[in-house]
Amino acid sequence: MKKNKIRKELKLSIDGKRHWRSIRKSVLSGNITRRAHRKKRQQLRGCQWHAEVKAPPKISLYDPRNHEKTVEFLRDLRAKVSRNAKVRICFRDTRQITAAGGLLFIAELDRLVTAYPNVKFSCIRPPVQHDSKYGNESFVTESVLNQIGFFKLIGLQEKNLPSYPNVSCWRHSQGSVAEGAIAGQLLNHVNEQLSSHDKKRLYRGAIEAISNCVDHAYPSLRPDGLGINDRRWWMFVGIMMGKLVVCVCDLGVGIPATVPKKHPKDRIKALLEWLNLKGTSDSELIHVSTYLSKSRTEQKHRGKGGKDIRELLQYYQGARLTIFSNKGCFRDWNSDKPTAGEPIPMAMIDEQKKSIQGTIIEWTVPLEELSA
Amino acid sequence: MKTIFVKAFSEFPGPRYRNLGPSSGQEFREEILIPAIKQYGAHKLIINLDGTCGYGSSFLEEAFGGLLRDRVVTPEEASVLVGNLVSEEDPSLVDEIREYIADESTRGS
Repeated sequence: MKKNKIRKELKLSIDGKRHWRSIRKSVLSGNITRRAHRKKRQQLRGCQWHAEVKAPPKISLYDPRNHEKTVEFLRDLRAKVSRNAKVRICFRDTRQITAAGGLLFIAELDRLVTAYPNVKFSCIRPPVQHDSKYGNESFVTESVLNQIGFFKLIGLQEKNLPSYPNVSCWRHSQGSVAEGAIAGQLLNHVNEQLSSHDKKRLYRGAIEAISNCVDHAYPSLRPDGLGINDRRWWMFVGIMMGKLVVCVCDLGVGIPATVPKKHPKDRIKALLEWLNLKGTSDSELIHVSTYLSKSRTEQKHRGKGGKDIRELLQYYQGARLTIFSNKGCFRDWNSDKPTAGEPIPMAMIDEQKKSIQGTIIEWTVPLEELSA
Repeated sequence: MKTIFVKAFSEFPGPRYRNLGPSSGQEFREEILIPAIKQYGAHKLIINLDGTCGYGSSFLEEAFGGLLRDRVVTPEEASVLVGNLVSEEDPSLVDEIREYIADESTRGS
C-alpha cells in the first residue's frame, strides 16, 4: 500500500500514537537520567560529607559583637573538629581578620590540628572584595590567611595572590618554651627600621609575656572538655594601620583563674579596694593582675614581668596595651597622652559575654614614634 | 680584669629559670657568672651587657639578685660587681640591676 493512499483518519491516528509514544519515551528516559543523577549525587555526598564551620564576617575581638561571634566560631570549630573526620571551614562571609582575632584563630586551629591529625580540612575561600574607589579586586582577607599560615596548617595549597605591603610584613611563630630567639627574630624581621632601643623595649615585653605563658598559663588542662595537653604559646608581629602590633597568646586557664591561686587573698582584696573594684568579673581580675608585682609572698624576688608588660606605655605616647583573658578585656595607654576631646581614662575594663579560654596580650605602637 | 660579654652567652637572653626556656637568667648565673667569680673574684670582673636583643627583668633579677640569694657573693661584692657593669646601649640596665641587688640585700638582712 502506497503511503499517500492511507486514509486520513488512519494517518492521524498513527501520528497521534507515535506522538504520544515519543512523549512517553522522553519522560521515561528523563526520569531514568534524573534518578541516575540523583543517585550519583547522593553517592558523592556520602563520601564527601563534612561538618561545616562558618567563620564570622569579622574575626576580631575588639568590639563586643565581633568578640562574641568570633568566640562562638572558635567553639564551633573545636566541637566539629573533635567529633568529625572531615571539616570544612567556610570564609564565604569573612571580610576582615584582625591581629588578636587572627592569632587566636590560628592558635586554636594549630592546637586542634596537632591533637586531631587525622581530621581532613577543606575550606571555602573568602570572597574577592572590590575597593570602593576604583572597584579593583582585592584579595586581602585570603592574603591574611596565607600570611598567618592557615592553608599550610590544614594542608591546602596557597593561591598566588597579589602582595599587600600591610599583610606581607605579618609574622607569627609558636613555641612551648620561652625561647627568646623566636621573639627576637620575629621583631627583627617585621621592621628593619626599628632602632636598637625600640627592639630592646619590645623584646623585653614579649619575652616576659612568653615566660608568663610557660610558667603560669597551664597549671591544669584547659576547661574546654577536649582534654588536650598542649602547652604552647603563639606570637604575632605585624604592621596594621600605621601601627606596630605585637601579640602573645596562650590557650591556658586564663589570668582570672591564676590570680587567686598565685597571690595572697589579702593583697588582692587591698588592690581591689584601692582600684574601687568588686573583683567579681574577669576584666577586674586582669586589671588587678597588672598591679600585682610580686608573685608569691615567699618568693618576693619574682613577678617582675608585669612591670615589663606595662613598661612600653611609658616610652611611647601613642602606645596601647590590651589584655584579653577569658571573658575579660583590659585596655591601658599612656596617661600622659594629650587628648584633644574628652579626657580618656587611664585604663579601661570591658567584660565580654563569652570566654576566649586563654590569654592574649597585645601592644600597639605608632610607627612614627618608633622611627622618631 | 676579666670581661664577660653576655652576647657571647646568648644574643637572646631568655626567661628566669632553666625549666622555662633556653638562655635563662639561672643558666647565665650558674654557667657563666659563678664560675667566673670563683676563678677571678667579683672585684676583677667586668660584665658587658651590650650586643643582645634585650633583657627581660626576670633574667636580670635571677642572674644578679640570685648571686646574693645563693650566697655566692656578699652585698659588698655585689655592689662592686654592679659598679663594673658596662651597658652603653642602655645605661638604665645598670640602675635596674643595682635596684635588684639592693632589694635582695634588704630581704636577706
